[in-house]
Amino acid sequence: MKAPRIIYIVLFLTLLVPLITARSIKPAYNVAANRTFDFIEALPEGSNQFGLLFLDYGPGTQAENQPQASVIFEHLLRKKIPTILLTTYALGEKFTKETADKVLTRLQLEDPSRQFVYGKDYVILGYRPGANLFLQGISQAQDLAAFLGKDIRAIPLKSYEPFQGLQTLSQVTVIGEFTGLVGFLNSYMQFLTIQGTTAPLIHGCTSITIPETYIYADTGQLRGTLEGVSGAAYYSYLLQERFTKRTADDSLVINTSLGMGQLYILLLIALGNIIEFARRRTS
Amino acid sequence: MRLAAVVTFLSGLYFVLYFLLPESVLSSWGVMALHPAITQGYIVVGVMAFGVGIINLSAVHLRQIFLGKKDALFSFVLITSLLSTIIFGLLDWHRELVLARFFQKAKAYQTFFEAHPDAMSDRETASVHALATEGTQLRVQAFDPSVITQLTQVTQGREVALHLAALVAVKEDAEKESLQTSIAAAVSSFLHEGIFVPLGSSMFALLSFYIASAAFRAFRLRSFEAALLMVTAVLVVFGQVSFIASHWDGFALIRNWLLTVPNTAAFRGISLGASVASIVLAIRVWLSMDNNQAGS
Repeated sequence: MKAPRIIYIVLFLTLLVPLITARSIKPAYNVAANRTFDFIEALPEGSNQFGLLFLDYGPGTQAENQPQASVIFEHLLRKKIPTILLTTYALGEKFTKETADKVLTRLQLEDPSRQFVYGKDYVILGYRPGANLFLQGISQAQDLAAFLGKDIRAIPLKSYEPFQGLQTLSQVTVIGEFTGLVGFLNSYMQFLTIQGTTAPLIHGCTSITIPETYIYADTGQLRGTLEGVSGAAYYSYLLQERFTKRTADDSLVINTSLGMGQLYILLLIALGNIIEFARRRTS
Repeated sequence: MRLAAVVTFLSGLYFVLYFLLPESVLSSWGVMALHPAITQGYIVVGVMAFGVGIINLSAVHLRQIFLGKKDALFSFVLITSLLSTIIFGLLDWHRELVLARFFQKAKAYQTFFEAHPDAMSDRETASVHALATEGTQLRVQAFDPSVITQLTQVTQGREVALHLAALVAVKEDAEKESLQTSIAAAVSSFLHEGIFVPLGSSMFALLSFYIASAAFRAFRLRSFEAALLMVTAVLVVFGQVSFIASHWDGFALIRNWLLTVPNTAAFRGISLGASVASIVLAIRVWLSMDNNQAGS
């Protein structure tokens, strides 16, 4: 009975040390994150474009999905693309505001003279019920700003000047969907289409759901993917390369801690097999 | 029961026809114009499930409490959590709305007085005083002590516009301060960030300990398939762990190939199988062939 306790304690320490010391190393090259970065970086800056970010995660997958949503939101803010944050997952409501606040605080620290204005650069809509029906409504709306309704301050989206011209989904240049929930991505693929073509969708998934996303990435239906924390960390690294004044965020440290944990698990597999092999030989 | 089955069938039939029929036919029937409203109607009905869920949950657990059953304590915790989350959540939401509306009004006044910078009428002066009173009630002066006093002493529109511009500029601080001073906001925040998020994250984090334990005790290379799985897993992990992949980009490319080619081929097959099963399940629900779905 002692073996599991030792395994747990060592795993705990393995994960804890990088988090406490806040040490991080350069994340591994990630093909999918690189493609996602290139897609957003290639978008022209400024007007007549919109970002629509669905933060469909709760506390369970916050550790993986929040860094992904944060880096994409940050990149859109830097590109001056007005962005709407919302969720179709009831438990994700509070995270829409929390994610925005964290990103804005960090950007403010980087350059205090730069102001990001609520209602101009971004809007938070909070939770939207209806799941598939809501997504279907988005794809068919002829006045999308009106369809999306009011924000968390109960102010109609249409009353904010930059969003008044948002008529149809075809004007949305980036749709980000961040979730660890099974089946959510399928709904987005099914319903968010523009005249037979899939909308410019990028997806942030957890490590468990990575295999599913490759079906859509392979066909080009997904313009970009961020795979777990490692995807977010590599995207963060690319942002730092692009914007040299940018300070490091949490994803790099979490990724380092996760990498150590993964190596420890490989070590456990090897150790378990060696012990088993030795036992068989003696018996 | 029959009514539920008929409503379910007609609801399903609507969407089947909507997806299958050409747009010209739907337009001639007037469905295209009505569809957004119909969709919103379905969403509203769907949201009622929250209410039904709360009533059901409360009925079950209140019964447990009042009958003093074995696990009544857990039921009490559940009901208390439910009520406190709803009550403080609503109070917090109301506070945010009031504050947001105050600043929206301040912004509108600022715009108005920028366009009318000269002397103010008595009516306009009264409106500005009312706004100042509202600001006092919301403790806005905590961030700019002079602004409320100045607002009550102005005689010209341009002064009002200037003071309101200063007021709107401290908006973010005002929201944060209000968060600290409002009991409802503090409790709501504690319930979410202090209890709900750590509990939810901990439940998910436990997985890593199970994986570690299983890796040591259960993952044995007893067959060729197990060895193949092990080699693939090692390559995928090497492709994403910074300590190793940063030495050679080839690991990342191998990982990408494994996920793009063999994984995609296998996963497409799984997805197709699951989709066929989903269609069968959907038809069973649509035709009320599954008694559990119909509520019996």
